Amino acid sequence: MGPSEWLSMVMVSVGVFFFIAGSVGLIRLPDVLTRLHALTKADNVGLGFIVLGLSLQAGSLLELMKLLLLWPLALLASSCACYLVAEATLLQSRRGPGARRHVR
Amino acid sequence: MTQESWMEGTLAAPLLGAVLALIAGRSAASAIGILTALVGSAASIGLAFAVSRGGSFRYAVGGWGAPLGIDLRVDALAAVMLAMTGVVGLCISVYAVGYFRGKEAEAASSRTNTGPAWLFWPMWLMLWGGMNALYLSGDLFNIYVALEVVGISGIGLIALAGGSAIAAALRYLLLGLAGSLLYIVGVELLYAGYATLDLEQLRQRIDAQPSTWLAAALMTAGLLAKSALFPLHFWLPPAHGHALAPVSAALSALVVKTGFYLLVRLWLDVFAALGTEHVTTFLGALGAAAVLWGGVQALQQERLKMMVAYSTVAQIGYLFMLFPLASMSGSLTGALLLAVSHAMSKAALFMCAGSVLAVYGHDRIQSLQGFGALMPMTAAAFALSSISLIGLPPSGGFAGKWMLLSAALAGGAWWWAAIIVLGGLLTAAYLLRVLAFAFLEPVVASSTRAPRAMELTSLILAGMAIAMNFALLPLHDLLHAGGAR
Amino acid sequence: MSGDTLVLDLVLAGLLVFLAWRLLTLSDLFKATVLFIVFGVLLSLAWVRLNAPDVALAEAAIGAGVTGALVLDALRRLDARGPADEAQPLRLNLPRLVGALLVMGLGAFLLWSVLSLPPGWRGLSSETAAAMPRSGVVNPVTASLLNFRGYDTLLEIAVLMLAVLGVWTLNAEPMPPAEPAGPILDVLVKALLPPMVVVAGYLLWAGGHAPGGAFQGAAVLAAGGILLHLARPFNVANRGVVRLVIGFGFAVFLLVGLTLATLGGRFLELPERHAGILILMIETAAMISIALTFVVLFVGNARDNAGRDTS
Repeated sequence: MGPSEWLSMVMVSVGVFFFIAGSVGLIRLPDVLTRLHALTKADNVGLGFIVLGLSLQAGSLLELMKLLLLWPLALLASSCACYLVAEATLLQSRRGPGARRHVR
Repeated sequence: MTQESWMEGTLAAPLLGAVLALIAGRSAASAIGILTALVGSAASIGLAFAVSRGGSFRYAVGGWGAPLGIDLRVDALAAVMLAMTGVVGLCISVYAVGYFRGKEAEAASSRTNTGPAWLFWPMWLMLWGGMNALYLSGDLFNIYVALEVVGISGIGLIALAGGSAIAAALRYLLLGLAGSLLYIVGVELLYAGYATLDLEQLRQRIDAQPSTWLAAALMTAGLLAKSALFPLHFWLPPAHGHALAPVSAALSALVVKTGFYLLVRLWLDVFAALGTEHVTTFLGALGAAAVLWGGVQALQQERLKMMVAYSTVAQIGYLFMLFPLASMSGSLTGALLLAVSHAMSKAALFMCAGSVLAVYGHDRIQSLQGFGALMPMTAAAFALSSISLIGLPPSGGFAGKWMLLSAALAGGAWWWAAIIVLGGLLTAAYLLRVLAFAFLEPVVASSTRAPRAMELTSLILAGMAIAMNFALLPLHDLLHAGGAR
Repeated sequence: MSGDTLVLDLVLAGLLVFLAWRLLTLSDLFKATVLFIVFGVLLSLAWVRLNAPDVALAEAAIGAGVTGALVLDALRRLDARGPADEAQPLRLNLPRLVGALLVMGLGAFLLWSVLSLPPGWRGLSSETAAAMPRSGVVNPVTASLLNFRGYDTLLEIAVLMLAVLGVWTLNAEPMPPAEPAGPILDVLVKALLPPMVVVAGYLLWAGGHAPGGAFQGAAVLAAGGILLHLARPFNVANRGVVRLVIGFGFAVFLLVGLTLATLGGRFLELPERHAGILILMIETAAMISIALTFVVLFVGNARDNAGRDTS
């Protein structure tokens, strides 16, 4: 294995570590907001490292560009989804414990 | 015109009409519907004549040919079913124009909205197109897709009635999906075993593997549920009994025949090499049970439409008595004649029920005194359809039952003959019970009249059911010339 | 199949069975819905493992994505009518036991049937390979769907059209989102909608030579439409232009088939020289219609905002 493959493997491993940490946080942390915190770290940083690692192995420019497009799109979607979930949680806690868990 | 162009017209006309009616919307839907019905029925009758002259033929859609592409197969059996759909479909369309015009007038006088009633046209034409596609198809997967078109459009049509019909439509949907699932698993097993979906190629390659038997059982179970054969009939009376009258007519007269047709194709042709005697006896026994159970249930119904719906459960049973008698000469002619005249008389009966509903505002049998005096044409249509359904001479029902009876007696199977006779007595009991009310003194003087188009089409259909008595010989010749089996 | 991928496959299959069991037995419908979406995503992974990337794309986009959104929306409509979400958990009684045993027996029989297929079973793949040069495309899945068995696809598009008619028949009330959408959703829509349209077009184009096609492209396009509806509720009433777009795909497909038949060929017989461009044309029309179909299924009503019936 050449140095670029080693580097690629290290980066993907770091990414996987963030995903595992995020998953552990999702299960272990006490409430929605802290869980969201763990989850988005995994999505943002973990996916970033994996994409970077894989892009070192890209066979063509087109493949590289597709890979690099993935990360900002996922970043955008996950941060917006995180915001929306957090907003819904806040709205519900304001409404009191009797409100339904998942109205929107 | 060549056989092929008649066939292309039969296939494409209802599909094209459906999408045009959808795009055109409320204002032009019924005009497009009638035009399509005229073209479609003319094409299917032309096709039947072409088959009677030129014999059966195959048609490779897309030009690829089986097993890669889809082959259509047009033989006498398919041609008869297509012509039946064409004739009855045209009458249902004419009736529907009058029916929905009446509804609109009613809605205008009470300042309400008929809502999406015009959606009847695209859905009904699509249902018609699906049935034509099914009868034409010679390919198991293509038949599955056609079954889905027929099923989904039927559900939408039932739901048009709103209210309690929606629950019936949902039950029909769930049952139809379960039936399709069973059918498609069977198709996949057959494809895995024989690497073809073409009926003709399957017939040549089939052998008695365990997985072939499993496939046959699954497909049969699915199709039995779709054709509402006892004991899988429970969904039919609520669905057919609650739908709008033209919808009930289409479902009860035409749609239930699709499952029967496919089972005839499968068990009397494709699976014939499996050695199918016990299967055909089993199907016949279910048919016999349906004749008795449906008849007894029909006798107990309070509402006219529910009674007619239970009558369908019984009459489907008659058709299935073809299976044990299939080796006797004349039995297929008899069963087909029975199917065609049932389509005509059952459509006529549901049309009568719709006309009665339009005049009386209800269809409680006990309160229909004097409908003969109020609506003589409808009463005449009811009486003529009853003659054919009971099997009194001269009528299509009589000729068909006669052929089945003589086939049963020629084969020494007197028990099937006994069921045929007993079922006729039951039919007479529940139909004459309604007719008796026609001759009583009217209690209420109703000023509303059913639109002329409605009463007239039901009478024409009933008259055709009688006239089918004389279709026996031509049908027999067609089946032999067109090479069904 | 090497040892390490076998482990992956077994874990995947086990997870699928476990998820199916959980989502059937959960009494909380919201959790069951989330599990259903996860199930769809894992199922699409299973299709990838089975070397069926086209099916995987369709499963992810339609099975998990659009269907998941539909089920979530149905759940929200149920919620709006009061507490309806605590379904009865499935308890084992005698009829269910008999049913379960029957299904398990059937499953075992099916498994045995698959295992008893001759090794190296190839179905129609050699016939397909031989016909590919005349099909106008390179992707055998697209060749089957749009050319060899295009007639099936025509009727399947009819089924989708009928689904819209069913929704209009039921005349469901419009149901705008419960809360006013915040500015973030708006930003998301503005940022994502253009690339979604591009991706849909790309999937459609790619279908000719790689996994993709009208259904997958339509699912992406429809996801964009649903997202837009969530951010800025709109109405897809039963109006002339909407009906035209809904019927467009089916009409184009049917008319192409009929034109070819009147020009001397058979119904849907695509001439070899023009097959590629005709397939692209049919697929473009179908994609637009299917995408709007999914959006109508989600938005689901036949009334305009004033509550009038516009049909």
